Amino acid sequence: MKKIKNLNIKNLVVQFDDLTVLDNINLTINQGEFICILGSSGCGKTTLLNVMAGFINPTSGQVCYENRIIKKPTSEICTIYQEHALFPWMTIYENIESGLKFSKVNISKRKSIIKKFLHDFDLKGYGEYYPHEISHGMRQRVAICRSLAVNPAMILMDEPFSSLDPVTKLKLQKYILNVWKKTNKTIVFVTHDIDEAIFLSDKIFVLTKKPSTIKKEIINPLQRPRRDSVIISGEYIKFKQFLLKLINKINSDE
Amino acid sequence: MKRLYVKLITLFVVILIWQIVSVIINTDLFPTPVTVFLSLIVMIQEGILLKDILWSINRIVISLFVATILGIILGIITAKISLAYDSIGTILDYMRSASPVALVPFIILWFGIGEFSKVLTLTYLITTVIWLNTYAGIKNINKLYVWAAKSLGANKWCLIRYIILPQALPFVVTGIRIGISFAFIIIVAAEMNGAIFGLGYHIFAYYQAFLIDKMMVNLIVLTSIAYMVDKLFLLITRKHYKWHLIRGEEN
Ligand SMILES: Nc1ncnc2c1ncn2[C@@H]1O[C@H](COP(=O)(O)OP(=O)(O)O)[C@@H](O)[C@H]1O
Ligand SMILES: [Mg+2]
Repeated sequence: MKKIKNLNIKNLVVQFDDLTVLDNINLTINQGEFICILGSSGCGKTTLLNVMAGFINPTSGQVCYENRIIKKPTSEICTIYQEHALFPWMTIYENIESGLKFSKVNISKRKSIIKKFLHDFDLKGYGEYYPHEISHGMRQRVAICRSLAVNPAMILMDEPFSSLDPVTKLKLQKYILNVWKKTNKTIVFVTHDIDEAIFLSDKIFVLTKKPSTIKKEIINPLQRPRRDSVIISGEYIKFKQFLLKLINKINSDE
Repeated sequence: MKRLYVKLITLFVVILIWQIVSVIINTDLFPTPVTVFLSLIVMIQEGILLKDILWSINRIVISLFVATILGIILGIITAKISLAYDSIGTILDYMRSASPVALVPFIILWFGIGEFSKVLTLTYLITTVIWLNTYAGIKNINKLYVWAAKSLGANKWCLIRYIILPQALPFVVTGIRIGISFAFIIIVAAEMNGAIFGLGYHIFAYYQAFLIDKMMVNLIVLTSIAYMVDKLFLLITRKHYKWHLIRGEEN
């Protein structure tokens, strides 16, 4: 039987001094799933991702990846942040190259890998630019390339498209779906945008307000591939209404 | 271009005022710019000026070189290890406030009046400046970049080489720039108590011989070199961290 790599969170609690941010979180994420974590601003989504990535140690409980407890960052799990995603002192080429350099991939191999990424992500000709010289959407594409280049099994994304305009956002959502379909990577995608969560996910974890725990684990009923027009289908609207109701309930809970 | 004209006109006006004032006062203690310029020509011909310049610059370059390496290494160590900051850092922080002019006699008493003492005076001062800036630069680093690098598989060495130093670089460069300015200021004190050659040394030698015009030549030459080196340094380093300047403009 093929071994399934999964990420397992058990009884996770995270406190900062007196503030309890995450309170008894339990979840399992399987290899190849596209997971969205949906929660309002300030509820602890970034904290949860940082625990999964090994940057923050839990106050109690544990995070296991392939049955090993995560205590520090590993290159199998790569994080993409909303801002400051790229190193501003490096060119686009050097940014994508950075992870390959860290893992000592030789120069000719680096070259060919980067060339392919620049091509696949419509970044051809931008290699010598600096991050501040290109658009926001392009920057996020470069950040995605940079993570993919080190070939992690799992990619964590923290509201990566939240500051983009709707058109660019849709374009990037399709890029990431494409990448996911081709590479069979596990993606954990944090967002506060219901539509984004519905459009992208296999499964949605809805977080409560702080101190937050998982309110509900929901399987996304929409078939793949999903076209742009899916957002006006009856099934989509029904699912969205369901989520809205759930979120309203969370917000009115005291 | 327009700004260059303003600068040149300013220079001209200053010299003009100097000329007028010194003609009115008419004393050997305040020679005219023309007198000073003529002395400059003589001193160049005699070859003494060039030797003074070379000796002083040599001391400054050696000190800067040693101090930059020391300052950066100490900056990294004190920023990364809190025990090092509390111990070595405290010493450096304290030493930073000790007047180098007051330290010169001690250094001479303990190490003699040779080259070593002069380089030591300069090196000590510049090291503390570069150390402080490197330390501040490393402390100022954005944690997200470090995390991003770690999640791309960076080990400790990669973090320092590719993430921490480049981010701290603008601070380090500022430290080196201040260090250069200080070096040109303190070289005079370092050379005060005797040397074979040196712009600072000869200011005092001319002072005892009452050669005010020659004193002025040395002072102006020293200041001009300091000024030009500073501008040249700025020009060379600026394009290497354009990203930092641009980010600063955005904020
Ligand atoms: N390092 C920290 N120290 C103290 N409090 C923190 C820290 N990080 C986050 N918090 C707090 O935890 C809460 C959740 O933050 P975060 O995980 O960033 O939320 P989200 O990403 O959902 O907006 C916030 O109230 C925030 O102020
Ligand atoms: Mg967040």
